[in-house]
Amino acid sequence: MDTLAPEKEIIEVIKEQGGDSFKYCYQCGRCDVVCPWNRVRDFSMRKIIRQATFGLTEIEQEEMWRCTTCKTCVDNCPRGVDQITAGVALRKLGAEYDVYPGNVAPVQTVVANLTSEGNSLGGEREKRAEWAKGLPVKTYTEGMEVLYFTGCYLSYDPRMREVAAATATILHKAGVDFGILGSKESCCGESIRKTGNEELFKRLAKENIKEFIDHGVKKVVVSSPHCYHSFKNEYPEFMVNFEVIFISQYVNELVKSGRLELTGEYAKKVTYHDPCYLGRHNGIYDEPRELLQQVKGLELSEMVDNREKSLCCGGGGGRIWMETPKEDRFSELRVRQAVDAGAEVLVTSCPYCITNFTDSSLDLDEGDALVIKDITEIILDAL
Amino acid sequence: MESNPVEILPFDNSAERNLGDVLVVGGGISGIQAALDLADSGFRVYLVDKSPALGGKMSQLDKTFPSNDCSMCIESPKFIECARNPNIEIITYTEVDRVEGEAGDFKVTLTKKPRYIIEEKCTGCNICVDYCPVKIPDPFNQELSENKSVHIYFSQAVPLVTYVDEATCLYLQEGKCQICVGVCKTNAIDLHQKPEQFELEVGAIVLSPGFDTFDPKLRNDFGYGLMQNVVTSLDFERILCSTGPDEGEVRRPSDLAHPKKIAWIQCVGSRQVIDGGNSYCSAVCCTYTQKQVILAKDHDTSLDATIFHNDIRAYGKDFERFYQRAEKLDDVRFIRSYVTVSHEDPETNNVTIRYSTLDDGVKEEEFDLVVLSVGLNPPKNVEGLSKTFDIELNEHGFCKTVPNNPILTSRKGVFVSGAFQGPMDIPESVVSASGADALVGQLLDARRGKLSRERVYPEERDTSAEEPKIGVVVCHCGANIGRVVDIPAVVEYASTLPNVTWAGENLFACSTENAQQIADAIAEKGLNRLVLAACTPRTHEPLFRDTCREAGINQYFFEMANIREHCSWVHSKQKDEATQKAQDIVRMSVARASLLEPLQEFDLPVNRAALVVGGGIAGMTCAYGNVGAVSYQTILSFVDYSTFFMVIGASAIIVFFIAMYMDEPKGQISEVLPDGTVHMIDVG
Repeated sequence: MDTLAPEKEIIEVIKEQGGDSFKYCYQCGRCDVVCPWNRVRDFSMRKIIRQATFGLTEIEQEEMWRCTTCKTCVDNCPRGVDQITAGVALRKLGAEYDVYPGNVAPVQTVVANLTSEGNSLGGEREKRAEWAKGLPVKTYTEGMEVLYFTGCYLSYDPRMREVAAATATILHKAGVDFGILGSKESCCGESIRKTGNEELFKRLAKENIKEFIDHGVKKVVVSSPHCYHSFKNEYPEFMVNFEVIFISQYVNELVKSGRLELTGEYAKKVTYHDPCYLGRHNGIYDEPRELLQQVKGLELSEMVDNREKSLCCGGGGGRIWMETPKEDRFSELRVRQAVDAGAEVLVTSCPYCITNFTDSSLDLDEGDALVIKDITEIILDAL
Repeated sequence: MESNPVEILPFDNSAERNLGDVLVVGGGISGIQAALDLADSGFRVYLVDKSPALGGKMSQLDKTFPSNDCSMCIESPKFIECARNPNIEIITYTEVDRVEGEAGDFKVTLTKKPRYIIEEKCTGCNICVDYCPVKIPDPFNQELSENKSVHIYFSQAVPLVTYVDEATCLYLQEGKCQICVGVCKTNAIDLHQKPEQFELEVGAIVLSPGFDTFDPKLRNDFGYGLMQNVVTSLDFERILCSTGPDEGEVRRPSDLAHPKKIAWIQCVGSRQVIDGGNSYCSAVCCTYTQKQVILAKDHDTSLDATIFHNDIRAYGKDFERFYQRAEKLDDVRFIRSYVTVSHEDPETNNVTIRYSTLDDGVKEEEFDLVVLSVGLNPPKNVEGLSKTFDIELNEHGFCKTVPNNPILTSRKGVFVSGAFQGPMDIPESVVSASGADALVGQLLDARRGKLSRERVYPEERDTSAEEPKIGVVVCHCGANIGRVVDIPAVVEYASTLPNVTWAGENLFACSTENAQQIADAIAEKGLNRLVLAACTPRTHEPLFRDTCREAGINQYFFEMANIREHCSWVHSKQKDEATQKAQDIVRMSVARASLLEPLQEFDLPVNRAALVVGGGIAGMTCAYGNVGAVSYQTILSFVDYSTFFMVIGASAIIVFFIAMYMDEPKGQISEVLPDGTVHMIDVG
């Protein structure tokens, strides 16, 4: 039997990053049982935590990069271990030594994009507001009701630009006085932070905060749960306190208060997917459902893994940028769950989820055709 | 000739009715043991329980670990001992409202909830139960079977009296029906009974309210409350028990089929920091699960049993051996993994469990039945208890005790015994009860023997001129004997034996009901000898000897025929041969009984001193219980007696001179306060 020498550095880095709770692990294995990875292949979070506790992490392996930070293990751990913080600390070591093994390699390009253009897709910063051409969208000025923080995917990705358009139209219809920052907007930095790049996250956050302050921003509406999570839970580390509200919450308020009227209908069988960063990370389960229930003709059903048990799409933790072979994609399982729930439309509100589900829905049989929509697109149809 | 009833003895002095020495709150095994020890030490005890009968959680168990003794067989004789003891007054269906006063002088206000039955008139005949039209889920059987709105809590209950469930009685809810009143032969039913408040004056209180099991229904843990075939360990204990919902057949709730594959999930509600759970380990679940596995395999040897755990805690006496006994059984797997329940098959209602392995990834397996090994919580309404008795609780909600004396609570004169201290097994509950007796004894030593009374037995009948007239009772012992031996055949055989006047059978001979049956038979048929075909004399011989004495015959006219340990337990696969052997054993015992002679017991005086062998912490606590004497005892262990006494003498002289020549403090002394300022205090 080999004797292994622990790498003290690993243990110290994790502790410094706030991952000290890993020492509470009593190897019960529940993290493995609930982790979505184990539905497609063998993956042991228990092993990763245990190795980390003894400083035996193998940084060159892809294993510690698999985690999508979906938080299912954190919520189910009987000992209160924070696997996400420990995992991100391990990745920090990897990031420092520029070790991005195998399928993780694309992250290096993303780092470059974020550094130079402030978005993860490699689009030009000057063109960030192009999606708003021809739409009733103004530049944000002090005194406006809300800042609409569009986000990288909605600004540059062709499919997600449709969602940005739908969102802007709805806000306009409701008479909301909103504006965008356009090229002054930078990536929220949530996902790159989860790949261990603390420095880049800080830079992006400071840039955004500076712009918010300069523009006198008080209330921010976001379309991505990742932006929501970052602004609500991580930006306060910089001692700022902006009010953040998620788009489905905001639209729900607009409908309930009568500012937005849903005169039309959306007569389809719909099922709602809870994005990890909206549901498990931030506890928002009811408002999106409330909103959908107000749409005439809409039949809402629930998939087997709903609310706290929602099955991750596989995009969090920076994995949206990484290669995942088809047989390892959770989104393939999720679209099938939507079909099993009798749905024609799978609705959600996260750019990563929509991207992944759209891709996986192409693998369904013709008879099981499933349409993937953002919640704002449904509301738009029901106006 | 009238036989004496074996129920609660009436008190002679009504003026003294409410004055006692100790109040024991909680009539489970710990409270019962405390009451018995206190009564035998010369104190008058009130034993109060909020349930309709004594017994607590132990009465719901089938067997107890690690000996796999029949639980009721151990508890019910204790019920009868309490009932027969002239120094114990059993007060059931009663709760404590208020406690005033201090150690040595407590005034306790209690409320007796209305049973709607006049206890003194009820004979426990069950006729009202037969006629009652309202069916309710049986609370004793964990609501897995039905009972009636009026019923006896369980058949070996002491007191053997029915009670009416207020919430479901048609008369009490809607003014309709009164069938039970009509059929009761002794007019014992009073549907207009009101709660009765009364006061007791006692010198000390022993709290033994026990525990409650963790309720997985609150969070629907592992599908409990949503999936039919997910049950708790206490539910399963009732299912295993011969007095349970299926009379000892292990059947699962959904379709009453015999489960072939059962999973046990450990640590339900325990060892977690998640909201709603307990962070501690509940101590007994590992071993009780092993017990359930062994018993379930007894019922069905082909059963497939899987136990999902995080580690096995086998810390007590014989626990490791017990674990290995369970582990060695065929088709029993201990799998180290916490699990989730992934889904329920809508057609078969089978439950699928998802678990992790070290090298084979995460697997899923289907089971017929899932048993949740629930942890132990503090008793219900523990905050109320804490307020009423003005005692502190610890951070888990259990009684706060002193580390080196876990029987003391935060209030002088109020002691704690049993699982209210924290999760513990039956032996520990009993030991702490005896410990409470010792401490109460210290506190109330001056009152010892003042209020207590001696047991008075009826005069012994002179049977020297009589022919032997033997009574034979054959016991089923639940299913322990009844499942193997053909009891009616043995009874019939016994009645053909020479000198046998009467033969009968009983489900649990050690219950109150049967004690009465025996006493009646002895009276009516003029029996002068008794043979009981049941378990080992080691368990209940004293109880039945006592029953004979109560019935007026010499206690040594009692003979026990062991058809359990010597027959049904060892020949459980050979029913016919076992029945034959039981008959042979009974024949031998009857023959011996014919030749028995009466024997008399007498008392011998002894020195009232005790020898404590071993002066470690246990020995010292036992011997003295106070620190001053302990230090002298330590010196004694190093030197001989004369040196020891010289040390004591020298200490006394030194202290005398110090006291003589010590000056009274005069003037001022200084004190430095936390903020650094110096404060002068006048003294002298």
